[in-house]
Amino acid sequence: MEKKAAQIRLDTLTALYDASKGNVGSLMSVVEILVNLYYKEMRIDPAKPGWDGQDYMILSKSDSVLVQYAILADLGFFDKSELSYYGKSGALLKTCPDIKVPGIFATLSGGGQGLSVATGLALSLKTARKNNRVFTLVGDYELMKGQIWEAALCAAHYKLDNLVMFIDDPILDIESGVKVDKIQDKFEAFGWSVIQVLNGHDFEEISNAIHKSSAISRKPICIWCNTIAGKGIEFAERKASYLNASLSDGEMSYVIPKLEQLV
Amino acid sequence: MKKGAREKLVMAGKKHSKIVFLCGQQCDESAEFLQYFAERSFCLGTGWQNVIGVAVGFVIGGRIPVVLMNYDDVIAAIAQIKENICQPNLNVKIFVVGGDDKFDVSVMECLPNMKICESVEEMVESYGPGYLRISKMVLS
Repeated sequence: MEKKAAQIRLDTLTALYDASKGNVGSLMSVVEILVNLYYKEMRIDPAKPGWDGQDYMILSKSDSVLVQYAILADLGFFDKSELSYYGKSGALLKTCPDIKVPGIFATLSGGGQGLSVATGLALSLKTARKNNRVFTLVGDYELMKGQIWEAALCAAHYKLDNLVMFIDDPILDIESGVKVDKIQDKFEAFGWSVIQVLNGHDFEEISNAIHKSSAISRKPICIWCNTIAGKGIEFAERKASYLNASLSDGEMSYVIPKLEQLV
Repeated sequence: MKKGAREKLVMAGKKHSKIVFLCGQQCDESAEFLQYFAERSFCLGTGWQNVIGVAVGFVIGGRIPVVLMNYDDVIAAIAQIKENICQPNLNVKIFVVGGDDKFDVSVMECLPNMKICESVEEMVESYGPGYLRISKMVLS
């Protein structure tokens, strides 16, 4: 799994560099969560995209969609060459999730919208008496959006225990402005069951949290992951300045060989 | 007219088992749907941006959501209607009661793929985002 995470980081950074776009810090913090879900925990079959028994991932943190694209390409949902056109005019892979991309279920933008979609899907599946699970990944900044709390209230009301929300809560060197704190208390007050993952880059810890969530009934589940912004790029880790930045030629020539050694 | 449209919506619900009715809070319309389709009617709270997102989730789950909204609430969720429903051309129907001007209809006409419908039948039988507004003027 560590090798797979390194490969996804490599593919993501390469596509990001080709597109001359930023978001390095924001992208790298979610790699282990998504790799764990797609390669270990979720029931998916790229050969059968409409499969009735599949689990779903609704990526609410839309600025991390490139990591999801890299994983979907690696799994064979679409050709890996599409990654090199990421974000370009007319390309399949847009900078926000789009249902035209195989493996993506909803068109989202702006942040804060994915939890509502995941809630609707979980409610639809539950009322159809299906046992598929719905996963969603939310960024910490999205918790400031009112829609997240509207959805949180709704999901708890309908006791959606087939809904698992990951929160990517990255550590940064400079914390400024308003930030949602006491995440556990807030979601528990809304009727959710909260599991904290102290190291959101530890596969075993993430897996344990997912297995614990399977035993919870009649409550939606929040897996609150403490992560590191820019994880895997040593000079960018925890740096707020790299959160929405792209890497220079020199930085890429330093990082790529290091990641290639891990693959 | 209002009662007629409501009865037609109930008939559409009977005809199409994939239709689900989503509303914000208990109202005359939702009470009627709850009576006929208890397992297909959901009062989701008045967070309208969330209601639109939930409708998208129901589409992924293979259903046809009909969202019952008040005129005053439509504009509050316009970004979600545009980005989550209209741009990907999802089969979500929006049924709006109230209002005595055409502001909302004018806004909806600007959205990609959105069809302004004149009857329940037109809204339900066509594929894609549909908008039907029953105004107070018509009601009176």
